[in-house]
Amino acid sequence: MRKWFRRRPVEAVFIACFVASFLGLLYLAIFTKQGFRIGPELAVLAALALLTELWPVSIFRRGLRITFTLPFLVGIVVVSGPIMAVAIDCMISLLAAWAMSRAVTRNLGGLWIGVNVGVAALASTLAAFAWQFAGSPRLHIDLLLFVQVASYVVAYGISNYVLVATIDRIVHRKSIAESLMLHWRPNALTVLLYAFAAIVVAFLASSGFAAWAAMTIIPIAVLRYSLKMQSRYIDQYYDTISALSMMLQRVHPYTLGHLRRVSRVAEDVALRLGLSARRANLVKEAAILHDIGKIGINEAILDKPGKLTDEEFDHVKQHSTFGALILEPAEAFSPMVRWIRHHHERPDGTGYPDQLSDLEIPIESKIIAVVDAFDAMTGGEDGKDRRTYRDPMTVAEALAELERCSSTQFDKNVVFAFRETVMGASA
Amino acid sequence: MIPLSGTAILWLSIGVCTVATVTILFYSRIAMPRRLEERLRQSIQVFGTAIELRFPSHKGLTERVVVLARLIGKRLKLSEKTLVTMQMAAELRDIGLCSIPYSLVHEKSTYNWDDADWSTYYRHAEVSGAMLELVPSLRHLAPIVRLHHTDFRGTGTEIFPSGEDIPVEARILNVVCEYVWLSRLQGSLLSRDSIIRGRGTAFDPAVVDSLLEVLTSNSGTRVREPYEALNC
Repeated sequence: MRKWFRRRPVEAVFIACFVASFLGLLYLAIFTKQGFRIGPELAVLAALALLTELWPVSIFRRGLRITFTLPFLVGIVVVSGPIMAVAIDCMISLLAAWAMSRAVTRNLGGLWIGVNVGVAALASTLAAFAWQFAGSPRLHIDLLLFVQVASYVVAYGISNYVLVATIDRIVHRKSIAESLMLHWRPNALTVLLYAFAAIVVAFLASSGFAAWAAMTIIPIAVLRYSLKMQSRYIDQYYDTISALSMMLQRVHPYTLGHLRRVSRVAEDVALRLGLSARRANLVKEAAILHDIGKIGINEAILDKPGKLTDEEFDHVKQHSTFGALILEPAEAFSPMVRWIRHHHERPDGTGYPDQLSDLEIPIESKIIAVVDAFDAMTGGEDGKDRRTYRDPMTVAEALAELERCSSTQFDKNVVFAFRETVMGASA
Repeated sequence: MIPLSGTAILWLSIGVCTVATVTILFYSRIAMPRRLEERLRQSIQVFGTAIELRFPSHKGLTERVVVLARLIGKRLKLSEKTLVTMQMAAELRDIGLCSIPYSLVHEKSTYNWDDADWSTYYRHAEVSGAMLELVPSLRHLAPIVRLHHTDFRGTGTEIFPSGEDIPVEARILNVVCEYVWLSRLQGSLLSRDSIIRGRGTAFDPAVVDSLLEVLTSNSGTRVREPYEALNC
């Protein structure tokens, strides 16, 4: 059983979702005597919900789809009760997922549809509980509706978010909750609009004007447009980074694996040193771009076996200045320009280009310096990534070398954090 | 205690919705596109700096290429959208130059390049195209950039299109890039002769004609020639 769990985690989550939501519904149906009513308003609201579900925004090319069904779901709850809302939510997400998986060329299969429906079922069941327990008879009838709608929206949002983050974590084995926080920060106005649209739909539905809820399509279309613009804005930033690193790869074929490893480890070290997730992410991007100045350097000298002459070394030394020069015009890269310029400074003040002292070097530069040096020494797993001028070392040898050079070439604390990161990863 | 009836809450919510909708619409229709364009301009500048560091001799070519290409495009009655696409393609056309060996550019004068060196150089168009192909938001520029050094008459192979099958932006850029580079090397008169010699073979005749009109006409669109031959 445990072995199966470990091999098929997504199926396990999917089954758990269904079992949990089934039990929850059973509880609601038996103990709170929730029934459901069917009427023409229900048909209108369900049609609107299906329409918005089929009209998603794909955000940041990460497979994350955002739909705007929630206001209409709230209307369904008001008109026909929370159990009906669970059923309708399951149905429309099944239909939409089926349509999507036909439209998308990737082979996602039945499992993806199942997971989508499972998440919808569990989220709406949990929200139904919130609806049930927010209703206190002491409140005025209108205020009661207001409180119930608010708690339904909040519960649905949180449980949906947590479930999606959990599944992403299982599938991609990285902390998506953190990166979601980073990339998907809806501004306060967006959330406000969304929540108030739900309240409007609820009040219209409760006073028998459910058909007027169709008007909420307008703010939802606006919301959709603004999200699309925001995602274009962020895509463009990542496209610039990927195009720049492609240019660098054309100059030095060995750097692709190097860049990937360095950026991954640099982010981990930054988090371990207590930098915020946002800053650690910037360190990761800076680590991808740290050698971008090598575009202006003669690749024959960089790949030269043996020791460099003074003149050649002076030429190679220019690359950190060049990197800062290249990234300077872009406002998006402004925090990392300084880090890249100083990633070859040394705490004892003998580095280049500016011979900064220990206190003047940014911590991000120190992180990049340590991670870069370690990867250069171990040379990666691939034979292709090996530096031509030296045989690769083992991890232990490289760590000992870092220790030996700490507080002259590298920062002591960064080396310590790096050691912990590497040991933690291999253990 | 404020009396909070259902109707009051409803109208309040409708009001908040309307205000938020209008604000978000304003923000994403007016403020956001402007910021996006600014960012795009900056990142194109980043690519330009990177290429200038590897090829110091290419400094300042792109500005002239953009000016001339826009004027020719206007003469050929291209839409503003096409002109903007062409401008972006002109600014990104040389990112593939980074695949050319450093020693070829810095240790050998172009006068001493043999055919092998020249074909290495002209491979940059294809490399740039392949790189842009991998970047989703710039993918629409890839065919223009890939063909911006392709002969109008065709290369004799089936791989590259010829004649009118080449996008008009690529045909314009082909003429303009060649003219701007040659005029830096040998002055505008000799380079104008070279362009005329290539009319109908390497270059699209219509584009060559409009380039000559742009360069020689007495109307307001005439481009003043800088005496760059002296700077070589």
